[in-house]
Amino acid sequence: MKKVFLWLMVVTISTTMVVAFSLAGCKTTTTTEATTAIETTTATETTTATTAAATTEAATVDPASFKGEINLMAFNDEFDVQGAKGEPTMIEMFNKVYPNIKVNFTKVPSGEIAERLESTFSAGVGIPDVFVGEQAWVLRWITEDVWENLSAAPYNAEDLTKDQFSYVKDFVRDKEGNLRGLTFQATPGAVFYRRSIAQKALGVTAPNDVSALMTTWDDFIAMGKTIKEKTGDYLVAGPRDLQRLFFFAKKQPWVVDGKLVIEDVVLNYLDISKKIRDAGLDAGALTWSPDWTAGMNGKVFSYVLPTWGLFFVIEPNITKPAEPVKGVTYSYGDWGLASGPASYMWGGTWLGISKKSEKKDLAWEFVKFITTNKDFLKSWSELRGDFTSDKVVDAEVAATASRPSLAGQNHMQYFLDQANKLDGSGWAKRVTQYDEDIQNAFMDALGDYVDGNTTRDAAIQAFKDAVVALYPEISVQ
Amino acid sequence: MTSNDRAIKKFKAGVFTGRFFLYLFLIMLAILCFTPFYIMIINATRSTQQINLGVSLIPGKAIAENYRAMMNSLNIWRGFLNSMIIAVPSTILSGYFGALTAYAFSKFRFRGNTILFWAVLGTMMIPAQLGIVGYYQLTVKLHLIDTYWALILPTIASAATVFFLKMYIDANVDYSLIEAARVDGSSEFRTFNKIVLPIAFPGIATMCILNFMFSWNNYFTPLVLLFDKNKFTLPILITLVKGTFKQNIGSQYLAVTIAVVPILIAFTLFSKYIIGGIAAGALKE
Amino acid sequence: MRKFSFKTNNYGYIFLLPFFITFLALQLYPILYTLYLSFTNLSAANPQGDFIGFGNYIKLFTDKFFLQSIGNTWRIWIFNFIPQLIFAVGLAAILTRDKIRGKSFFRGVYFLPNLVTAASVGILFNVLLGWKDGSINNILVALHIIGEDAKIHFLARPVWISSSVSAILWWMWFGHSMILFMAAMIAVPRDLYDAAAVDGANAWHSFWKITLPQIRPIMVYVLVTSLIGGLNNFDIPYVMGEGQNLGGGGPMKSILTMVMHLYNTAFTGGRQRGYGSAIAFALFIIVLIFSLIIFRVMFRGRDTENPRGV
Repeated sequence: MKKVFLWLMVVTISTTMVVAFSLAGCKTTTTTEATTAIETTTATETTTATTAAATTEAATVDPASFKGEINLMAFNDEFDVQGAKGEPTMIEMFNKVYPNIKVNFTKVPSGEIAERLESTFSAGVGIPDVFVGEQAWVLRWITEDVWENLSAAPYNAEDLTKDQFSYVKDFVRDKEGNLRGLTFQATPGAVFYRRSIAQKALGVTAPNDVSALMTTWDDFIAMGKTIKEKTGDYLVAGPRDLQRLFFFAKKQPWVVDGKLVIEDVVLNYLDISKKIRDAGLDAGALTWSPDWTAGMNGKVFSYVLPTWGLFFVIEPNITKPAEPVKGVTYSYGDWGLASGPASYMWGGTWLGISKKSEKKDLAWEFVKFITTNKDFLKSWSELRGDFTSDKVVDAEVAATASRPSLAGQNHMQYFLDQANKLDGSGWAKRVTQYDEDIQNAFMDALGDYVDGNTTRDAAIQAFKDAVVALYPEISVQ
Repeated sequence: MTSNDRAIKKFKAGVFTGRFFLYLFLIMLAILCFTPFYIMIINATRSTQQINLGVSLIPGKAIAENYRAMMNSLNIWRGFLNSMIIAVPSTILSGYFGALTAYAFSKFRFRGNTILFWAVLGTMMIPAQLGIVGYYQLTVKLHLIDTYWALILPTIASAATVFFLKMYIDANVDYSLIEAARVDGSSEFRTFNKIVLPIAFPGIATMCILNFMFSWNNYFTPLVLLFDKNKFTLPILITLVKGTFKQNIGSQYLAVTIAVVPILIAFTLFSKYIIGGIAAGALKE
Repeated sequence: MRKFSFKTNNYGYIFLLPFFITFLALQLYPILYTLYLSFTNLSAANPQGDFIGFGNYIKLFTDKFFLQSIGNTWRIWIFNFIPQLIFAVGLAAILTRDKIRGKSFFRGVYFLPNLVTAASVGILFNVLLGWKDGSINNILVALHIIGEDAKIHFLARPVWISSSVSAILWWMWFGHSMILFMAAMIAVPRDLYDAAAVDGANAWHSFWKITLPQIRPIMVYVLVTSLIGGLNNFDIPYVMGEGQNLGGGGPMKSILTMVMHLYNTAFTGGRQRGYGSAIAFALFIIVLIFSLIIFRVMFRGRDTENPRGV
C-alpha cells in the first residue's frame, strides 16, 4: 500500500516536473527568439524612421511608419481598464493612431512600483522605456536623474506644452529648470457633498451656497454641528480626509535648510481634527476602508477628493448596479462640488522616458501622444470625465460639460476655476522630496492624538521622532 | 440493576458528555477556522458595493462580473502555471536534498558536523527581507534575474527542512538498519535512496506540503526577482487585480479564491494519503 | 573495518555538498554583503556608502523605535505562541489518540488559515475589525455583549490591535503546528503505550510521561521556527497598521515589529540601507541567543550528536 503510494507520488511529481520544465524551456526559447526578431526589426525600422524624420522635417510623419515595441510600467488603470461603458483605454486609443507600436504594459500597484523601478535601475535589467512618477514620489526620478530631459532636442517639449497649467510642469522641473516628465492630467481638488443632506440640514443645495458656508474652519465645524443636530449625519468620514486642505495652505516647504518647519496651519489641523472627533462629527472611518466607501450612500455629508475622485471613487460607488443591494439608496445625482476652506490638488501621474531606453524615439511618440495630443486629450476628457493638463482643451470641454451624477453640475468648469487658483499659488515651488513621508508621519501622530491615545505635545514629539527616524539628515531643532 | 451496572452506566454517561463537549469544541474551532474562508468565497460572488456594506453569508450574483473584471486586467491562469513551474521543482528539490543533508548530519560522524549544523540553523534566522538585497545583486551577476531558476535553485538549501528532517531521522531511522545495509554491500547512496528515504517519507511529505505552500504563497521574492509579467506568480497577480483608486474588491476576493481552492483540494487529498502512509507503519517495515 | 568506517563517515561530506554549494553561493554571499553594509552609512543621502565602523550598532541603543519594536515583537509573539502551543499539542493528542469521527476533516480545516497569504488575511481582518460599522462590533452589539455606544475601536487602541495581531497569528498557525505534532505523535512506538497501559497508566499519564518526552525534538523544532518566524514577524502587522500609512506601526507604534522597522528604515524614507543592515544583524543576534537558550534548556544533559538519535 505504502509502496504503491510512493510510486504514484514519484511518478506524478516527476511527470509534472518534466512537463513544467519543458514548458519553461519552450517558453524561454520562444521568448528569446521573439525578442531577437523584434530587436532586428526595430533596429532597421528605427533607422528608416530617423531617416524619414530627417528628410521630411516640418512635414508630419505618418504615425503608422513607427514600428516596434516599447515597455511601459505604471500603476494606472487608465492604460488598460476600459470605462464602465466599454470606453477604450489609453493604449487602445494610442494604437488607433499608431497601429505599429506595440505597448507592453506592466502594471504594478502604486504602493510597490517605486521600489520595483528602483530595483530595475540598480540591476540595469528590465528598465522600462517609459515609466510613471506619481505626485508622492516623482521627485525621486528627477533627483536620481533617470528620466530624459524633455526640454532639450529632439523632444522640445516646452513648445508642445505651452497651453498646460504651469504647476503641472513646475512640479517636474529639475534644478536647471528642464522638464523631465509630462502629464495628461491636472488634479485640482474639491469638496464633494450630498445635496439632499445640505437641503435638509442647511436649507441650501447649490454649490456656491454650500461653499459660502465653509470658507473658514470655524464655519466648517459649525456647519457640521448643524448637520448633526438636524439630520444626525456626519460632516466627514474621518478627520484624516482633510489633510490636503491643510498641507496646501502651508506657506513654507516642510524642510528649509535641513530643518523641519512645523507651521501653525499644520498645528491647527491637529486642533480642528480633535474638535471634529470630540463633537462626534465624523464617522470614524479610515480613508479607503469599506466603512468609508459605504458612507457615500449613507450618513456622510462630504468627501475631500480631486478630479479623479469623481469617476474612480464616487461614481462607481453611488451608481445603482444591475443587482442593487437591499436597503441601500444609491445617491447617484445627489452630489455637488463645492470649495472648502482651502484649495488643493491631489495625485497626478507624470510619464517620462528612461535614459537607458534603446527605443527613445518610439517611447517619445507614446509620451507625446498621451500628454500633448490635443485631439486625444479632448476625447479622453469627454469619454472619461478626466480633467486634462491642457487649459485650452479643458475650456473647450467645459463649454458644454454637465455631469448627471452631480445633478448636472459642470464639473469641468469647477475644476478649471480651482486649477487656475492653484496655478497662481506657487505651491509647486514649496514641494520637497520629503513631503509624502513627512505627511504620513504627521498623519500617524494626528491619528493617535485624535483617537485619544496621546496628548497634543506628545503627538508633536512623536511626529518629530518619526521624521528623524526616516531621514536622519533632517534636524528638528 | 446492580451497583456495578449503575457505575458502568454513569461512566458511559460521563464519557458521552465528555465526547459531546469534545465534539462541540472541535466543531466550534472548525467554524472559527472556516468562517473567514467562507466569507472570502461568498465575497468572490458579491459586488464591491455589497461587500462594502458588510459581511454576508449568502452568495451574491456578481461572480461573472467579477471574473470579467479580473480577466480584464490579468490572466490568472497563466499565473497559475507559473506558480506551478516554480512550486513543484522547489518542493522536490527541497525535500530530496533536505533529506540527504539531514541524513548526513544525523547519521555520519565527520569533523565539523556540529558546527556546520549550527551554520544551517543560523541561516534560518536572517530576515528574508534583507538577504534579498544581496541576492538580487547576485542574480544580476549570474544572469538569473527574471528567470524561474532564481526562485527554484535556492530551495536546494532549505535550512528549515534540514532541521526538521534531522530531528525526524534522529528519532525514526535506526542506525542498525543502515549498518545492516552496509554489511549487505549496499552503496551509501543506495542506502539513502532505498532505506532512509522510504522510512523518512512521512516527514519528508510533511515538509514537502509546507514547502509547497510556502512557495505557492511566496510574494516578496518573486516580486523582487521577476520583471516579465508573463512570469508573474499568483500572489503577485492577486495584488495586481487591485485597481489603484477604483477598488474592485469582489474580483480581488475571486482571485484569492481561485488561488486558494486548488491548494485546498490538493491538501485535502494529499494529507489523507500521508496519514495513510504513516499509519501503514513506515517505522515498522 | 576501521578503514571502512572512516570512509563511511566521510560520505557525510558528499551528502552535504549540494546543500552547502547552494548555501554558500546563494545564501551566505548575500548575508555577508549585508554584514558589510551594516558597517557603512549607505543611504539615499550617501549613495557611495562610507565605512563608519560600529556607528550603526551604537545608534541602535538610542533608537527609540528600535527599542520599542523589540518589546512589541516579543509581546505579539508570546501572546500568539502560548495558546498556539496549547491548542496544537492538545488537538494533536486528541486527533491521534482518540477515536474521533471526521479526523481528517478537522485536521484539514484547522490547517486552512495557513493557506492564504498573510496579506489577504490582514486585509480581511481589517474589514472585520472596523469601528462603527465593523462586523465583529456588529456581532458583539447583536449579542448584547456591548452597547451600541460602546463599540470597540479595535484598530485605534494599542492594546486591542496588538492582541488582534496575536490572535490572527494564533489563528493562522495553530493548525500548522498541530500537523507537525501529529506527525511526531504517530511516530511514537505503540508498544510504549501498551507497556504503560499494562502498568496501569491512564491516558493523561501516558500523555505526560510518554507522548511529551517523545515529541520533544518536534517541540524544539516548532518552538525554534515559531520564535524565528515570530521575531521576523512582518506581513500581518504591516497590513494591519491603522491609517493610510501602511507599515506605520499602528496606534502609538504598538505593532511596529523589528522587521517592520528594518523595512521602514532600509526601504522607505531616506532608505538607510546601512543602518537597516545593522538592524537585521541585531535581530539575527537576538534570535541566535534565544535559539541557543532553547536548545540548552530542551536538550539538557542530552547528546545531540548521538548518531543513534535522541
